[in-house]
Amino acid sequence: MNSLRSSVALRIRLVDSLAELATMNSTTLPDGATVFDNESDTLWRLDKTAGTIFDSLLGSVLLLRPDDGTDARWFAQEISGSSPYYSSTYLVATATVVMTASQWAYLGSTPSTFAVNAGDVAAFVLDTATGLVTYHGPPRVALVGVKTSLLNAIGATSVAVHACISRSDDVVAGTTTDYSSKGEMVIVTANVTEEISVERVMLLNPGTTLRLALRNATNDDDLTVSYYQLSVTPL
Amino acid sequence: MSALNSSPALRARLVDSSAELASMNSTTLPDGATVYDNETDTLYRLDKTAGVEFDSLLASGIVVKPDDGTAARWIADTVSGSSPYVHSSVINAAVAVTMTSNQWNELGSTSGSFSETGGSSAIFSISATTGLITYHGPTREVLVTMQASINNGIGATPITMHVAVSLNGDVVDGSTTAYREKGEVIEVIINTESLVTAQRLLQLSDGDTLQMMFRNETNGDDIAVNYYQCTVAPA
Repeated sequence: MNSLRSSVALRIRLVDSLAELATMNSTTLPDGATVFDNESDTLWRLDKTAGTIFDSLLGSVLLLRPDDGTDARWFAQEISGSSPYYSSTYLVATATVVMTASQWAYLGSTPSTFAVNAGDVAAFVLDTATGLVTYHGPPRVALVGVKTSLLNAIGATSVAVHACISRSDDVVAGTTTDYSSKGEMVIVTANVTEEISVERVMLLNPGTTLRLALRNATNDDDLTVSYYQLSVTPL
Repeated sequence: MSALNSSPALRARLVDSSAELASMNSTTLPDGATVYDNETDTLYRLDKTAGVEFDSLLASGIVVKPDDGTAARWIADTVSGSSPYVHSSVINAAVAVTMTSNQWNELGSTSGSFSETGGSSAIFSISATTGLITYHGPTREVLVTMQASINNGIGATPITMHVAVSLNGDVVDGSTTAYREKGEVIEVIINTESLVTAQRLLQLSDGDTLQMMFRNETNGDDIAVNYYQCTVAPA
């Protein structure tokens, strides 16, 4: 057996409950230490300088504050072997997006009703009227995808509809910019409902926002969005 | 605190083969202990109360049973740095889905020929005739994507086709319910080949099933599914 194995053993601790983890003295542990909690099946990593920036997550399953009163926080790395930093939101009822020819506009610019169907609501806060999702967790790389069904409700003219996922409004409403580098896709619809799918791999930071941007490159026919789902899958 | 937790040397070990892992006395290890097997590049976590639930995975190497005869099992967390709880399957030839107007119908309700194209058949088994996928692993968060190229072979009438991902039959066959929260999207099809994609973020547990569902909102036109792929990617 490799003699180095005994040193590997020092890297991970085990606890039987979150209460036990909270009482552990974090000042004696190195930054980045990990603890596995059997009760919640959660792997936690220590950030000794986190401070209060993520404390909106306290009370969720994602963040734990040690009882020692320091700036240290325990961040959930995995729950049951999966990253907990995922989210899925959807459109509850049909929404209209008012278009100006060739300009980007956000789904939700005309208020509608959105809801959460998966994920932690503290880490991914949904504005139920606009569909805007705001991330409040630690930095993570994620695959963000949108599936949506839409049509131009006004006329039978074929229109080219572009779609793109906007990260912190980097697809700028009101512009006519090409955003091919941000996963932009296009379909043509002529007053019949079509599905369009867009994806982006991106870094999520605390405060990053997500929403769908649409652009009618043909005319100013408004769009009717009948189905929509935005999913965030951690990588 | 478990008395075993205080012994750091027992918390993470390295072995050179699954045989060496099996011969390790699990009774002296704490629940949640980890072992890395160099031979298979696999990180295992000990579940001391797993019992026989996952023993169908023993031959696949995803689960290792200790020789000590206890209920403990070593369950793979990662293989070569990635989660092994992945899957993809396809249809080998076009298949019809018989539709009743506006009702949900299952892909596979008319027998087809399905096969697995990725992942372990021990973890995700698939019915070769219905395409029904059954999960046999520990609880994991996953992104399920189902894509199909379809047309309505009967007539030129535009039909509005709904698709969704069903978990354990929760998109109920024969119902006319809206399932927006289950990845539902729609596309209008006019006797031409169209691509439809449904996606859901799900927590899979042992025994869960997955199936693609279709609903022809317009009439009873059957549809032909010419291409189909399901992928399950761990979160």
